[in-house]
Amino acid sequence: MILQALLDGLLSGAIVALGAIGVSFSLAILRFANFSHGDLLAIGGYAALFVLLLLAASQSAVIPLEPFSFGWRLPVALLFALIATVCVALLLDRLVYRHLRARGADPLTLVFASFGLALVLRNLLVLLFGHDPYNYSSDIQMALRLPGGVLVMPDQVLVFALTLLVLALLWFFLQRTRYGIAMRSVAENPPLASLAGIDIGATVRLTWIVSALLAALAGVFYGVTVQVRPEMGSNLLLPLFTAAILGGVGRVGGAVLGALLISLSENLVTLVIPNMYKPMIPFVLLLLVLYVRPAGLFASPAQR
Amino acid sequence: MSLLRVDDIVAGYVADLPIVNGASLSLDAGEILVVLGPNGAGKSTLVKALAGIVSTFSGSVRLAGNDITRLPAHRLSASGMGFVPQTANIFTTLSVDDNLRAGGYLLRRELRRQLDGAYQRFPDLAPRRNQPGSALSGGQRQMLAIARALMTSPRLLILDEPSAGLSPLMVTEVFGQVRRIADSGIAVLMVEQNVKAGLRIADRGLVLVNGTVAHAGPAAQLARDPKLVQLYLGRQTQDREAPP
Repeated sequence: MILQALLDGLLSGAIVALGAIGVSFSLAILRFANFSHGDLLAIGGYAALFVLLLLAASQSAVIPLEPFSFGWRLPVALLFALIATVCVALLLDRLVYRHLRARGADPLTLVFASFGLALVLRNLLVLLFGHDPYNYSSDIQMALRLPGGVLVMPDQVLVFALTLLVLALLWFFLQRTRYGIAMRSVAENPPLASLAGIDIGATVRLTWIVSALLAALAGVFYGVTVQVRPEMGSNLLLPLFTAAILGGVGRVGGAVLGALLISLSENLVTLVIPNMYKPMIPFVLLLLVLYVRPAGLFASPAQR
Repeated sequence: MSLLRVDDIVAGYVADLPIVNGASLSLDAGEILVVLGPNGAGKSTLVKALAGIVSTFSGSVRLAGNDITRLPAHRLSASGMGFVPQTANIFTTLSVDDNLRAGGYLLRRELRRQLDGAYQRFPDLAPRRNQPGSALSGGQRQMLAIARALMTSPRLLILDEPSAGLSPLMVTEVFGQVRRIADSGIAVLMVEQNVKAGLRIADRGLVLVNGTVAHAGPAAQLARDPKLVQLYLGRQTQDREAPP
């Protein structure tokens, strides 16, 4: 029972981690709490759904690639979701945030703008797809039995492995490439980064792109392992923010650890308390961390 | 022709209230020009305006014959200017190596060679290349800040109060390094409150008062002018020389 809860927590934590990194980037580089980030996950999830529905007529596309629940249309859908989510994120920046930044708007104004955009995006999804949840696949999938009687779906294993791969690539990008160093420099000190020849505007756009790619992946992975719903973004928002804050703003590794901590806590605590209280867990964790260590559990010495 | 030519520059934070009021200066390659003056004279604002951080309302700035007036800060690095701010001049969350890589953001193939050059010029940084900037001492931070600004091999290096907050020993070390940088052919424009030490390593100096150049001349001559020292520089010289 406990092993199953731990494994489930680990698998769902990986998805939350992808979204939490985007929130962490928003806080550190874009310098505001982006409350529409959860809805970027939903955009990614629904963009993939759109392609899946479009290709549903093709028999060869829906035949599952054993042992997974999906056929080759899912990689196509994922690619479309990545592109669509990046386009939406850049469009929002271009139409809303960039104008606000140019006018010297304070972070609070940007936060309220993101609230508004979150509502717009959510209602747009309702308008296009309705209120009902969608599953990417209705095929029955056989669970794998691991030692200790733990059950895991092949889809979950694949999603977890892909998440680890994406995190490794992201680490390489941030630590070893000039664009990654630019993002980290702008996160700490934009004027100094500018003096080094780094274009702040270009770095902001790059941040939107990276955040949107991660959000799209998280949204599609959520669709593969759970289901897509218009309110999935708002439901995930609190865990995303809690993970980002737990990990220390701008700390990618911290956001990942924060996400795992939240998901594991949610799954373990619900062994002893009713499942209906699960959404409360991130909030309690957030309050505890803010009380004990406001800069986050994994904040760097310079951040504390 | 001078490497840097500043003509009648008017600059500040608000157009109606300029802090620099028509300052002019010129600087040759390999020369150190120290900008002195009382507090609030506009010394830092002048160099920040040259670096694109503060608005320039009128006048012109030419570097190696190119007009760089009002170029945004991120384009000045490519134009041959390196700038070291007085405070927050390194990335404390980044390692020493990543600070230098950030400084060399514009470089591609030459990055490795420039990194090696930086560690040769500042050997104290080499053993600390994986340490975060926050772990460095004040002197090491200043060295790292200068090394970062030199990554793109600028023709002009601007330093805003490089001795601020440093021990006398570190001031000697930093200024020695600044002299060597100038001797390698880089023009150095330096704002300095430590008048005596600043004039000792500079070739020329200028005194800024109320945003305009009140006096200018060879550093040795300025240091010997008793009237000048008494009027504009005396109090600061005494402050710096007073025992702790």
